[in-house]
Amino acid sequence: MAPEIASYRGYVTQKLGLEASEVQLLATAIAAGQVGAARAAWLTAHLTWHRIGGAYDAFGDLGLAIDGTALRLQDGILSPQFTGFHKVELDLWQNGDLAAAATDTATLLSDVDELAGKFPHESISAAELPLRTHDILEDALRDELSGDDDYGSGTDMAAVEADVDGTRELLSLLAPVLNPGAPHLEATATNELNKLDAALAATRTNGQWVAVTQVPLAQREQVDGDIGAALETLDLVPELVQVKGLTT
Amino acid sequence: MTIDRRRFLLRSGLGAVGAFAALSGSGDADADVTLPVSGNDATLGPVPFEGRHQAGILTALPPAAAFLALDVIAEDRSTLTDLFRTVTARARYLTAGGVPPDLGTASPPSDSGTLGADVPADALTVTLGVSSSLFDDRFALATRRPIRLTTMRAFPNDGLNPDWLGGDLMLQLCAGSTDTVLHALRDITRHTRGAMQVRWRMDGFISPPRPTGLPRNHLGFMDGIANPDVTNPKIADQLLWVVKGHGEPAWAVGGSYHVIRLIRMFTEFWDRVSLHVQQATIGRYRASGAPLGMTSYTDIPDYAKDRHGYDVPLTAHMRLANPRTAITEPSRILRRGYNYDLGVDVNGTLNMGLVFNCFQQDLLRQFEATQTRLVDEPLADYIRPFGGGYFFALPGVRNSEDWLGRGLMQA
Repeated sequence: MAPEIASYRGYVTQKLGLEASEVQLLATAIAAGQVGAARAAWLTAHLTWHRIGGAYDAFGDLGLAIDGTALRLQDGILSPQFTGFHKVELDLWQNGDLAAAATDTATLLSDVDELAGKFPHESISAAELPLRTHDILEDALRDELSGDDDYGSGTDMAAVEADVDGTRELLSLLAPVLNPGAPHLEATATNELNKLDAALAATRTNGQWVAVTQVPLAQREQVDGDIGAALETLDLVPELVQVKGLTT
Repeated sequence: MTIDRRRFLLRSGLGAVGAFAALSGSGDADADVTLPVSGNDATLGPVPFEGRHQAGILTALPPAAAFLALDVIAEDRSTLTDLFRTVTARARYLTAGGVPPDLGTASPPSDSGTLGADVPADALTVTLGVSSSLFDDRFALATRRPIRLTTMRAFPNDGLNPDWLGGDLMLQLCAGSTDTVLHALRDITRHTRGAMQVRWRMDGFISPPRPTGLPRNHLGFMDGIANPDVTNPKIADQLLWVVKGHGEPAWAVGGSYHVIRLIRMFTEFWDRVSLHVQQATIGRYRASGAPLGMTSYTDIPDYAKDRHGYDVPLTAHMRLANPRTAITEPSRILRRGYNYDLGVDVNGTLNMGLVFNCFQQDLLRQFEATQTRLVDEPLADYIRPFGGGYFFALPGVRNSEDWLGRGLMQA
């Protein structure tokens, strides 16, 4: 697994660099008082985070600080521990509070910088990659397609699309390990992810993303069904990679 | 002929199998055939209502339950007293069963009729608790609060939803079948209108053991296996009941702290996890319920021997919840969990999980200590506690003159 882990490390390190520059652009737009530009910059930066595969507690406490929600905090959105993308989302969309957005973006930037500095030196267990191959979309199903982590931007469907990108990256990275035991799995999963992408794209109205709860039922059912089907395939990855001594 | 048959069905105590047999043999060409339902024959007898402690704590778990958190809307103490007396009177009647008063055809009937003309006891228990919010300034009860009664805190893996939290009172209804539970629920709420309102409600069920042993939860594992032996009064006085000499108000002796946690289980995700990981997460074999490395669900794991966790991982739910050490022994709790099943979510996933339900002498020393050991356990990925509360199950009703809450209100 060493080459796969090295590739993964390279992918994430490169994306974290991009992430830092995109959060900087978000800070610039906020400082200029441009709400529209700030919202667009927020979405760009947030989707990069999802492409990294930052879902599912991948980066520990820093990951939670960067993209956690208020759901698990005693004081909810009022908690000082509620930071990161979703706090800035709340500032920009629901509260229209640019001053708060500036402060919260500064915190976000410092957390991203810290992670970008630490990550290249973190140890990555061989068990992690195959689990993450389905964990990213498990997270998407639970937190995004439920609308639970929408703090006003209504961009959960876009986040799921970025999650699909992150999943594809892991899948192609693991393909050399997977193919001998399961020659059709990568192709099957890719087809299912393509179908999911098409269903996600279909939820856009006039080029705009629509909040999960506002998406018509038939379209939502297609997305929910397609992500479920992809997950039923991806859940075979951990076993096929056959990492010895695998525990949770 | 038709009328006779209906009357027979009512009088037979709804014994479905018996009714089916009678119908099959009737030779009546247009007879409606009632399909037999197993394990639901509504013939369970009464559970005694009076006692030092309320029923529904040590009582064997019947298959159906409802948990109602209620807010008191009564304005003053005398109305609150009336409320306690009314709940007591209804519980006394419902748990014994009997024929409800006939008010004639001109009046709304005295009973919903959902259990027929002769209400069976069906092992119904009615267990009433109070929360810390009842001891605010509304009824001037602040000085009588059981001293360990706090508000449920959010633990690190919780995702609490205010719609499923709180309530001044907790009414736990358990019975042999769902219709008995719902009948009691309708009766009690009907007789207390204007004094309390249901704030949230969760229904629960217990599956039959499959194939033997203990019932399983939605994760496929036997649940509630390791309870302390509270049938031993000495152990019960150490772990379950509030006793004299712990700084509690005298009226509270004989009561028990009651914790309810509504725990969503992400069953689709769980079903996509390997059996190996499932078993390592729980610490037991899924099929037999035996601790990993052992053979029977009744086997007691020896963690001193397995100190590196080669059999039962150190992070397994079972091991963290009850490490079986002298230090953790006083934190053991009496669990009475029920499965819940509540339709689907906006994303089409099944909303099902566990009504974690437990009784103990001390919230901090027992439930909170246990829950603290479980913070960030591997199982946390597959579940989400979203509601519930802390309550104090009142002491029992001693005799026919006594009523639930008398000690509290007359202290």
